[in-house]
Amino acid sequence: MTVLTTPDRPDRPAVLADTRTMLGRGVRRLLRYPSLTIMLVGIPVVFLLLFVYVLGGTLGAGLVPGGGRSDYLAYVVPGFLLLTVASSGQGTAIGVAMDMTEGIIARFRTMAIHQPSVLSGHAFGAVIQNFAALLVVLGVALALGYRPDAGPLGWLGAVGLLLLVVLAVTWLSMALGLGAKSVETASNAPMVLMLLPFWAPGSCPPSPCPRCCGGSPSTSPSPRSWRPCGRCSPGACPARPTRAWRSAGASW
Amino acid sequence: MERQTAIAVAGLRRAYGEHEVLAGIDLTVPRGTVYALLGPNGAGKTTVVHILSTLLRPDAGDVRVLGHDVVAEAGAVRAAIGVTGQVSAVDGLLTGTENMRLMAALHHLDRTEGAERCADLLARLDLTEAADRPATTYSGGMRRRLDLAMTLVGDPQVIFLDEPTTGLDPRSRRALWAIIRELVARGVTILLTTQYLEEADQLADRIGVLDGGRIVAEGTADELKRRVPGGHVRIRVATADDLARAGAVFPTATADPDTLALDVPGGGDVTALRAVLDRADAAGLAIADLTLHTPDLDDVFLALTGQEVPA
Repeated sequence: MTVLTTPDRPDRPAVLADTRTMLGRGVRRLLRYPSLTIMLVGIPVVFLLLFVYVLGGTLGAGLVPGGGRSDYLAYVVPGFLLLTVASSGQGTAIGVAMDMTEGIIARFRTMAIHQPSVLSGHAFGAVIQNFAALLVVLGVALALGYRPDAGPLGWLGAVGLLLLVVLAVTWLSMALGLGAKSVETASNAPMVLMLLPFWAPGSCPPSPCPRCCGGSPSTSPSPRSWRPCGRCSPGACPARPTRAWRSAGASW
Repeated sequence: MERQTAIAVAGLRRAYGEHEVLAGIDLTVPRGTVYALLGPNGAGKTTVVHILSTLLRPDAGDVRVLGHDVVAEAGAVRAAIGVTGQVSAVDGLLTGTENMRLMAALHHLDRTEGAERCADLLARLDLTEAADRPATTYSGGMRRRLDLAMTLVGDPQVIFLDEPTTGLDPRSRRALWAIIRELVARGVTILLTTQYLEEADQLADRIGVLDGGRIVAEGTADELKRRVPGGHVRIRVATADDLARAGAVFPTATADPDTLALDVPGGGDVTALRAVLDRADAAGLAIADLTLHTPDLDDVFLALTGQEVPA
């Protein structure tokens, strides 16, 4: 029998291999516990339907003169994508807390593995879960008639920004999950993240804003949506394309 | 000396805040032997295991596993040990096979080699049938066996078992004992904690009795038994009259009128037996029945820890 001699600082291949192994474990756990994922994706979808169909007509009318449900949909989708990230963060906290209450963490800690891989596996798994959830919510929004006219760069920017938000929320959720004494606490702790998009102008404009996009609502329906309007010069309304994002981001 | 010693602990202390759990522990476990830490709940058994397995840092003392310091060389210690704790360390959402393959991957075993070893260990621990079911569906005994199987994937040279059979039925317990003996036969060193005296008696080469953060007695099961009084010859007679006469023949004995039995102290071995028979013959005393009573670990436990023996 040969002795496994692992140095205190494992070499790079071990870091990659262990992280990949832990990611595989995380994904497998997600697949084995689908009800959690379904619930986490369900929350933003239900809220989206609720806001767009129950309140959307009225709120849309306040956005632009003669506006309606479709205007509100265009306004609210970015906020609800953030809500999706917050909801998935709850899942991450639950997952980490479940792990910590099980004995397997003690086993990992007594093994000669790259120790941070236990958490980075969770983090990468969470990114995958988040983007899967974001795709579902975006899909629902598209089905409801959401038609963003962003170009490739705009989308790239949106994905990049979402990735950063996802990572930030994921690590925060993991910290909350680690700090929680039970799975129940862990599931409640990130709840406040889900409320933040409602405080920020994620679902409803905070105050009347100068409307800088001229023209009819049908061609430029939402002054504060995340997509560039295309008909205004950037100088006319510098904060416009990302106003909802920025406000939401700032309050996070 | 270094090569032969698997676990060396000197002056180990550990406190949780004001509460001192370990108040200076010394113990040495030679390679290929089983050492049992025996003690009541809260004696500090688990703390010892946690420190030896790098989960906790000692406050003071020199703690080495295979010559490696558990703090300064934690990585080398982790590479050589396997731990099966009190809380079952399996991933409940994964199947038996997936749990095992996870361990194989973390030990960086080659894929086919890992798969073979996993299948082999699952078979050895009688889990082949359940291998494709999630571990949450396992019974307590199966979970414990899977736990041990996962510990064995890395082929550890030193294994820590923290109350390995607590909560298991007698049959599962014996099955686990058989596995532990097999491991020791292959040269693995085992430190186990238990509150079952029988378990320590059955498995351990040496036993340390831990109480109040100190090892209050150490030795082989026989050595420990010899340290406590309690050996006696119990004779039973036919009538109350005989009991009274026997009481006169053996003045130091304690009589029990209900069962017509008399415990004659002075040891529970053959020499004591012969002496009792000689004196009974000389007095013309008729003995109906007779048993030898050697002190067992229950007596040791009671005498050393001053506690009731756990049921």
